[in-house]
Amino acid sequence: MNSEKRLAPASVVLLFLVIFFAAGYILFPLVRLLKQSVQPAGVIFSFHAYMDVLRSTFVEAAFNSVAISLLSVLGSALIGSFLAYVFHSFDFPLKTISSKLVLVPLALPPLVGVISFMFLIGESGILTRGIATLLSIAPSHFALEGWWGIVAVHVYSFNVYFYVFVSSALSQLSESHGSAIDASLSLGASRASTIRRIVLPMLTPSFIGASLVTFMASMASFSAPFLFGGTTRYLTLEIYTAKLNGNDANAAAFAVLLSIVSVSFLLLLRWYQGRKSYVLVSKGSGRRSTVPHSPVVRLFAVAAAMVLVILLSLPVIIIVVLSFVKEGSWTYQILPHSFTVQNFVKLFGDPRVFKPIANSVEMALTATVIVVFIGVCASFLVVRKKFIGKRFLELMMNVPFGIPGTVIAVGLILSFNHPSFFSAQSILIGTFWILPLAYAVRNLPILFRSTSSGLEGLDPGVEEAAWILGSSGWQTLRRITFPLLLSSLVSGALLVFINSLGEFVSSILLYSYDTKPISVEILSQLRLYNVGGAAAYCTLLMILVMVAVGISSKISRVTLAE
Amino acid sequence: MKLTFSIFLSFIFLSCNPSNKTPLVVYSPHGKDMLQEFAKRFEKTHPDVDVQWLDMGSQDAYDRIRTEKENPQADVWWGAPSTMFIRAAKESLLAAYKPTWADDVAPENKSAHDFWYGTFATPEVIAFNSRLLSAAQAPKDWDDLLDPRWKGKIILRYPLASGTLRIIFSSIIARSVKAYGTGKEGFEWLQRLDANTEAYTPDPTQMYLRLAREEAEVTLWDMPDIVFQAEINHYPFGYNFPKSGTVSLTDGIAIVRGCKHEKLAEEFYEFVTSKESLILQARKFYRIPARGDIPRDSLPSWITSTHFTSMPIDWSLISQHESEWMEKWDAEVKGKGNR
Repeated sequence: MNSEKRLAPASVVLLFLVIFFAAGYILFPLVRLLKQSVQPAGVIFSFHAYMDVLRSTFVEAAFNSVAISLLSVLGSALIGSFLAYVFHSFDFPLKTISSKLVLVPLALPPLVGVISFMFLIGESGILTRGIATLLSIAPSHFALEGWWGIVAVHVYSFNVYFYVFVSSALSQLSESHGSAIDASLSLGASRASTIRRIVLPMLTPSFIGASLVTFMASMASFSAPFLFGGTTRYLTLEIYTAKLNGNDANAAAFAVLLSIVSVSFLLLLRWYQGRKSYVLVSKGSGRRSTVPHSPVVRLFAVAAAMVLVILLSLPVIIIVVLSFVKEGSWTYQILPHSFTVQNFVKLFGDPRVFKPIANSVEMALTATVIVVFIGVCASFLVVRKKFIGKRFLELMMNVPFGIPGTVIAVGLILSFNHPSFFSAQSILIGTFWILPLAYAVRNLPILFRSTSSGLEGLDPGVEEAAWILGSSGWQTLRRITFPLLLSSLVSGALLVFINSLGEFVSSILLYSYDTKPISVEILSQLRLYNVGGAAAYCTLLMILVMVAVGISSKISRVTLAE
Repeated sequence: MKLTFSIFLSFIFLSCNPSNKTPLVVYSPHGKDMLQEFAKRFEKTHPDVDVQWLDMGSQDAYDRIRTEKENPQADVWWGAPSTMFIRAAKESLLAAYKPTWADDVAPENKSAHDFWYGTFATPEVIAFNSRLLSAAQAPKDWDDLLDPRWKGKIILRYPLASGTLRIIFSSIIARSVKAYGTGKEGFEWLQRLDANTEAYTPDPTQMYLRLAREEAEVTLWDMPDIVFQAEINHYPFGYNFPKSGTVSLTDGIAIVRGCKHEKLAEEFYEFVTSKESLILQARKFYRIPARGDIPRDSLPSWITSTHFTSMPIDWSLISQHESEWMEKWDAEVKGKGNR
């Protein structure tokens, strides 16, 4: 079909928009960063910073960062995919509420999440002290620190990526390829080999997408290494340390090298994916179909999943409990003893209490709209069309996730603190728009990956058939591609929204008085050492996330029904 | 769907806040409560002004001001350790302004070129968990901290990110430079402290929590904050002033170079550093005024009853070498004490 080769005028317009976005808001800040790394104050060009960094701590820090990132991918893949499979394949009590709880870790802002972990598994945590008291040994033996502490925190938050990517692939699979599963089973293949030969290959794009997102997020993660890393070196910490010491060139060089490592992983995965062929030609049976399991397997799987859900909910429960604990009262005791609603009373006493929530919702929605538009166009172009510079565009769509949030924020400030072609000659710093823009840039890769995985799993033959049968390009898109893609799209958009809702790292550099987001308000509470107030505000944020999850699942259900 | 949409619309409506007041943007680490109070007070005398305070750590404030240099967003930078202001002045981020009370501050608490002036004095102390230790049991001087008895019992803020710890560590090295002509002994001292240190926490809240929750017994921090935690939040904290003398960190105020409302910024500067304001800040927000002309009897007793020796400090030596020393500490001392 030549529909794959030739770019229609509509596609050219879309391509132009995507390139505009990528050039203005991703490439431009990146170039600034590069420039800073080779152009220290007063010098025209020098590789000094790179030499310096490579000679000192880079190798050690890079090794640690890559190692924890790979472990994080592995752990997240196991837990996230397992949960997705169980939630997809079985029905059990409390399934609806637990499937929403699974997503909450992503929204837990690191600032508060960390405190929650301290109260749970730190040296003075409930679990640590509880077990220590039971076994009557010193609590410090359990403290989760170093590599394993970091990996635990990463797996806690990032297994959500696998959960979401794999869930949407599974529902897409049973929508479009249920017949293949049925056929395999009725032709006498065992359940195990059906899973291995049909289900798993079909899930490859989502595994790759989620691995990439998780790897990049772990590489760029700052809070977890900062908190649990102790005195070991990691790339993000080296960037931070160099910056604190006023050594901007070294900080930029570290950041550039960090992005290079992340991009290498992307290229490696692309190469691996290229070697595998996984698109199944479907007959589109249209009815849901899953691999059946014996009751024993079912029982064990559901029980294991419920245990995981409870474990994943513990930090959230701690936050809710903390929001009701009297300030300064929970110190040497295993469990809190004096409760109060004072934290909430004080919170609602502030006339501006809802302003940050309104701000964050509005900015996160705006970011999500931008990301959906750009991300869908870009993944459609990259997966379905051929044009020069396609690989480079794909790279640009993935890169932002591998760059620390601070670096993106600084790049945006330097680019838009004066009139620019990409901001229609207006100054964006200090306005509302800069924050949604930062959120959009940071989260674009998630949606791009989720829709690309969705598109890659779709058989282009279906679209071709529609085209041959006389439907116009637009009709095909609306009636065939879009509905099949919907679950990937909605889940990607949901992740973008949740991530933006609690975003902190770039917000702190970009917010202004009228656009104060939730995370900064939580920091304000913590800065006054008001842990209860921070927990109370965080509880509001988590309620908001649950609402968002509820709305999004309603959207996909209603639209599918139509 | 309709409901969601109308909620979305009302958010947009809420966030549009048409105002023809002049905005005055203040970056400050002084905390929501204090900022809200002084914004309200200032707006009362300047009804046409909207004070827009942005609450963030002093390092974040510095980062923003530095990045926004080309088109400054802030007018006033209220609050940062003097060492940070010195660095900012060197990078031409600050505008010179001589307040009316310029002569009432000691020379080491102000910039020679009027780029910043000291507002608060924050003496550093050895703080401890008072449920576990009495003041007599707790370390009473810097050198006591090196006793093996405190191994794994000391918790500190991550020094590179904390003005308080930077100043303490630099003073220890400066002390050694003064006594032996080299910083070597100072670094050895810090290495022994590192050996006793249980952890370096990324932010003050975690340091407090871990001290209160008995993961550690001793920390180094500033006295006003410790008093605040003990009196307001009822944390079990006490403190000792190091016998041989302690360091004080000076917290200051400055006007951002190239700001949009310089005249107004100066008025705000004067307003929050007036005698009345400083007394209110001392009484309500636990800040010790740096100005020497505040009547003693108008200050709370926790300030007036405090007596401590000051460590003699060569400030120019510290401001010259601080970055280099801290970088060396990070590369060669951090985590090496136990090997």
